[in-house]
Amino acid sequence: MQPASHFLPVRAGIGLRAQHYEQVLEMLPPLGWVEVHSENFFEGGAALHTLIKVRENYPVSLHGVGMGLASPGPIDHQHLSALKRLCDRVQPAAVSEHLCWNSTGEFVVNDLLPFPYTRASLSHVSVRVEQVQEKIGRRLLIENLSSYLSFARSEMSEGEFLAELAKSTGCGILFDVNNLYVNSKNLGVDPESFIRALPSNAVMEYHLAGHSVRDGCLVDTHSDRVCNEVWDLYRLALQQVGNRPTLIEWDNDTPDLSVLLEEAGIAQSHMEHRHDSMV
Amino acid sequence: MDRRHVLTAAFGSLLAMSLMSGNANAADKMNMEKCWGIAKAGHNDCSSNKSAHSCAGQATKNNDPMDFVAVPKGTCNKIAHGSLEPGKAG
Amino acid sequence: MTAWFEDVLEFGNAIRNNDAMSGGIGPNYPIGTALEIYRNNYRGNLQGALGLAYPVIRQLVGDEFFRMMAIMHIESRPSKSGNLHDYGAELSKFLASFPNAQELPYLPEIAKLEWACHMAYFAADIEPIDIVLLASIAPENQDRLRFLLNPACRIVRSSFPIVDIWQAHQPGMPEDFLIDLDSGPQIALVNRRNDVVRVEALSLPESAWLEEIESGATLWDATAVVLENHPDFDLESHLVNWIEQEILVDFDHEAKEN
Repeated sequence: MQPASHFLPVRAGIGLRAQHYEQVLEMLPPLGWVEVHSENFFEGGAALHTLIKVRENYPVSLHGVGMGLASPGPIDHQHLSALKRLCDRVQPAAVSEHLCWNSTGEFVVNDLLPFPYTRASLSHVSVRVEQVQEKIGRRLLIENLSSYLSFARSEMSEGEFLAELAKSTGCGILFDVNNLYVNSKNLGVDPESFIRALPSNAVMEYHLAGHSVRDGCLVDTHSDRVCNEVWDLYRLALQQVGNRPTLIEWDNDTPDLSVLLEEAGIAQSHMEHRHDSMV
Repeated sequence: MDRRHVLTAAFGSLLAMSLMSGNANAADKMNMEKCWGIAKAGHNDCSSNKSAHSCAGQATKNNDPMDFVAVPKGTCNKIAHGSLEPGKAG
Repeated sequence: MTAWFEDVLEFGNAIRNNDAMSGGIGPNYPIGTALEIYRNNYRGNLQGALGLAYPVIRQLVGDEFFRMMAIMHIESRPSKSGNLHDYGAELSKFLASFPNAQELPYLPEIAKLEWACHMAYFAADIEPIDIVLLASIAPENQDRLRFLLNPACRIVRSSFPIVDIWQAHQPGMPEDFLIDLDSGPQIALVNRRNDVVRVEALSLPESAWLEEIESGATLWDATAVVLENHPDFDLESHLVNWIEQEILVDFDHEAKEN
């Protein structure tokens, strides 16, 4: 077994969830890397120790869901310090968060919430991204969101916002292809112009997942295989942006590990055959 | 009470413990390894998890109109209230 | 206030308080559909967090009652942290005044015990005590030692047999138990060792000694207080046991710095 590295290899990985810890540690399937949700491993104990065992065998990406980078108030320093301690313990290959807010200052909505993309919000988020990068001493990757509504006040698209954010803070971009697909269906976002807006050299990772449909709205439930339209968009991204570490995410109705490995295999083969499809 | 006597006895045992400490650590490490996947009665399983965080939307509807269940219907019927009749609330 | 903040606050209130929202657009469906998805995620994530933190309460009252209780709890006590593991610290207080749970007076105390277990599960890791250094402390300094408890360690006092109730609901325990609520009060000690959260019952002198230590008393002061009421308190065996069990994880003494 080669030692797990400090960067994400340009290969397919899976989102590692609790029901698969034991199996992955026993089988050690040939995965490029794994990703986990940072907050599930804050402080100490069984969860963290399991992750440290995983880290001995795979590069680990820490994917945060609770920082609320666009929340109006000051950044939660307790949360940030907990993330810093986790980074010190796990030595992750990548650290990412979402382009979203979660706190009004009075209460927290524990979800990934969109906000208006304006010059003012851009400078607010930029400051906070820089605070995080400074604290953890490394580049942060920021993921595009799946949204079920947008804002009349927005002055730019999410893709343009991410491009500006990457330019001003040096952060990387985590391009979730399923989120883009969901937004194209729900909000009429044009996928091709979204991809065109992204600076290729800032895109450091892809996410792929399944979704479900409720009352005519696509919901990013991560509860199914990646659909054909999302695979098509992924191939388009590979051509326009290039091959990047690619993650299969599955959070609800999680299937057998073999299904995740199968999906990861499909992503891997799309990367390997990228040039074949460029006719 | 004799302070000296109590403390001397206690520290005598600590000294004995410190002489054994090399062996104890080895035994602990073995327990750690064996801990995977077993649920000892009365202890929670060390591989159990509390992964509350996800970046996915909720797959199930959690805001249905409340079909109000006013009465607890769980294992509380196995906890008898001595002075009242057993399992009254269950 | 910056204009876009207003949209964010309006959105937040639309999710939590079911308020209307004017700044949002949902092009392919009514805005209400979008808000329902967010409200659903909001409640679902908090309900999920409560379910993970309170597995015994959930078994005691059943899934349906637990769901209803969780919804009412979310209404009255909003989340204050981006870390979902922080949510639910006040369930015990909530249950104490929850009209539908008044028939089960032990529920708030079980909730207190479960929250202590939840905190223990995530508590910071510790280094085991330096037993060689401890054993080498000179006799004239022994009585002034101050011990530190494991950060996972909590003592929960109850007028009900909460330890028996908790134990009966752990995975792998027989389902056909019967617990007599009048079997007496119990004091629970929660701790974590080798990643496993453990709950056991403490005697009165044991809990008194540990609480003295927790509040910063020196080894002799804590022991003297307990010996006064319980002359047969056996410091020697308890000290060895609590160090082995990683309940006492460090000590504070001049000798340590030298």
